[in-house]
Amino acid sequence: MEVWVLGLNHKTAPVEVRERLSIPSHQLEECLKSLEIRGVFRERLLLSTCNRTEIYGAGLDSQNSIRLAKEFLSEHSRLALSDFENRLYVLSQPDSVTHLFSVASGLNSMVVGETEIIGQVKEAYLAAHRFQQTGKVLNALFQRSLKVAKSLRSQTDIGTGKVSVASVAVELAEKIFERLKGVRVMVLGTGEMAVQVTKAMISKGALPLMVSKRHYERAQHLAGELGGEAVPYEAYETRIKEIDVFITSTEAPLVIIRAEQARLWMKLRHERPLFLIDMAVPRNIDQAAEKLDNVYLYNIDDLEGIADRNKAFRESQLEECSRLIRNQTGFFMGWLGKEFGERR
Amino acid sequence: MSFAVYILIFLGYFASFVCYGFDLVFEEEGALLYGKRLLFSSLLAHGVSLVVSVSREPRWVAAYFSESLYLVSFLLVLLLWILERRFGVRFFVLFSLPVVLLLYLLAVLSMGRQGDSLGSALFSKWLWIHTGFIWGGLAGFVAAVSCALMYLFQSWQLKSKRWGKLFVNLPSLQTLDRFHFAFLSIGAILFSLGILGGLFWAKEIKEMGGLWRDPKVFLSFLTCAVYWSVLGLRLSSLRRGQKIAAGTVLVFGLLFVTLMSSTYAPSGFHAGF
Repeated sequence: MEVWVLGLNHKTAPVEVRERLSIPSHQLEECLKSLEIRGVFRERLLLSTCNRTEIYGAGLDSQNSIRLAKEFLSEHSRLALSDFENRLYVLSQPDSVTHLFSVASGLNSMVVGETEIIGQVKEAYLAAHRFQQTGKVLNALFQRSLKVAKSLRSQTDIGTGKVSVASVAVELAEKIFERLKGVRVMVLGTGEMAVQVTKAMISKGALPLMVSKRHYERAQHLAGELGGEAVPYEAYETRIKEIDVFITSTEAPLVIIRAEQARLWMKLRHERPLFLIDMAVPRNIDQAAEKLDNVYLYNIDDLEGIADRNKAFRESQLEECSRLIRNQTGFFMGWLGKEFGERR
Repeated sequence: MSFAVYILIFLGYFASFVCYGFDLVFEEEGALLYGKRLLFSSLLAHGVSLVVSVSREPRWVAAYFSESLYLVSFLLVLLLWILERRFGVRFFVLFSLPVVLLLYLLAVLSMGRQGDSLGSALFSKWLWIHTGFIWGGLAGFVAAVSCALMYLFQSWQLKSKRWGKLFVNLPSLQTLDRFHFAFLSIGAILFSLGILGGLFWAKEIKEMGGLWRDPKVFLSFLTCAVYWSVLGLRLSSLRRGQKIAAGTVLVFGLLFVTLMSSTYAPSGFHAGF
């Protein structure tokens, strides 16, 4: 019995190809049945996320199965095989096993060490199992892959630190305020990055107040979309008492919030902590404001710097992760050899 | 009780502190497990030593200064152990243990400095009311100072934009502020009740006149007043966060001087106790 994987991902194919080959969850049963009817492997599993589409299989007549699987992908995507064949990777064991362990652990993801993929692998496995497409080999392989992903997270620092600007800002806010539920976020300006950070905070229960001088209509539209409130520029300072996080992202060429102004705000707020996020370039908030008690000021460079350091730190863990995955592949191949007497 | 036993208990607490520190910095689960075991074993030995003391001489166990420190350090570790078991707050144990270690060490070192016998005072109801509340208040202040130290550390990390592993493991500023405020309130109330108990006691034995010449009484009033001022500032929201946390740490220094004043003061109602 041999384990194979055939597919493409964000490293081998552009989004135009990936979106054509992607398999939505409601089509999963149909696609798996179609593969079964075609005789693609003895056991089979489909893993389709926004970054990858992969067919995992275990069987004996592998070359034939691979040919049939390619034909299936071509039919499903309505693309000629020649249009994407060179973007496909076909891996036999033990590389296929190593590949799955890396995928499940997030080492193969666009954001190294991300955790969403563990859930996606689990869902793909449970679906294939539910539709009776897996057997002894794929059951053992996928169950082990989930264990490997878990142990990698506990034995290494691959999941440490946030790696996007928005998630870094959320993490910081969570270290200032007990929870973000009910925290009021005021956004001055309608810049894309500021909106992203606001959305990330809203997902944790924060309430937005959108302010804009030049684009008040856009602020109103965003406030409606995000479930918040639009505040006229002239009135925003009267609402400072209510807020906990203040994000600026305007196109103003000069500093618009001076340290002295922030000092007055703090008095009005009875010294309640204030998290200032300056996403604008040139900066909107006087850097001297960070010296005030209970004021925590971060600008775009600070946030990007933290995200980059976390990324670099995660990447520094790759070697150790690869070593652990190699060991786990060895264990699995040992088990496979004992069970089926196949080549290692 | 043999001096070696006291030292062994101290070393147990110290080793536990090292293990907790190792766990927090290097996230070693094994170290945390050893830390918990050491803390519990030392706490058990500490409790047994108190029981042995009482069984040898049946009276209030916190009559003398060294005994009081010995009891309060036990109560503090017990409180930490319960909090850890109930809420899993290992960071709290780590930041409180140094203060506990200091109190414990002082207790052991001042064992030979015991003052004159308390005589009939040993059996007065006011003795346990007075000392019980005072040491209860001290326990609250130790917990408050731990939270204040964590607050200052976390705040410094946020301001300096230099995050270590401690940043991830410590709770949010708001959580620390909440705990700090709660412990400070408990400490101030119990400490005030202890002082009040002492005043009633002095009145009962007609010692009110001499009481005011005692440096410990004066310093206790001062410390209590400063603690209530800090609490008042926090309650009125005139000051929050770093300044209040720094205030708690500074006032704890004054509390420490108050504690030590009677041991080293040549005269006064509390001299030698």
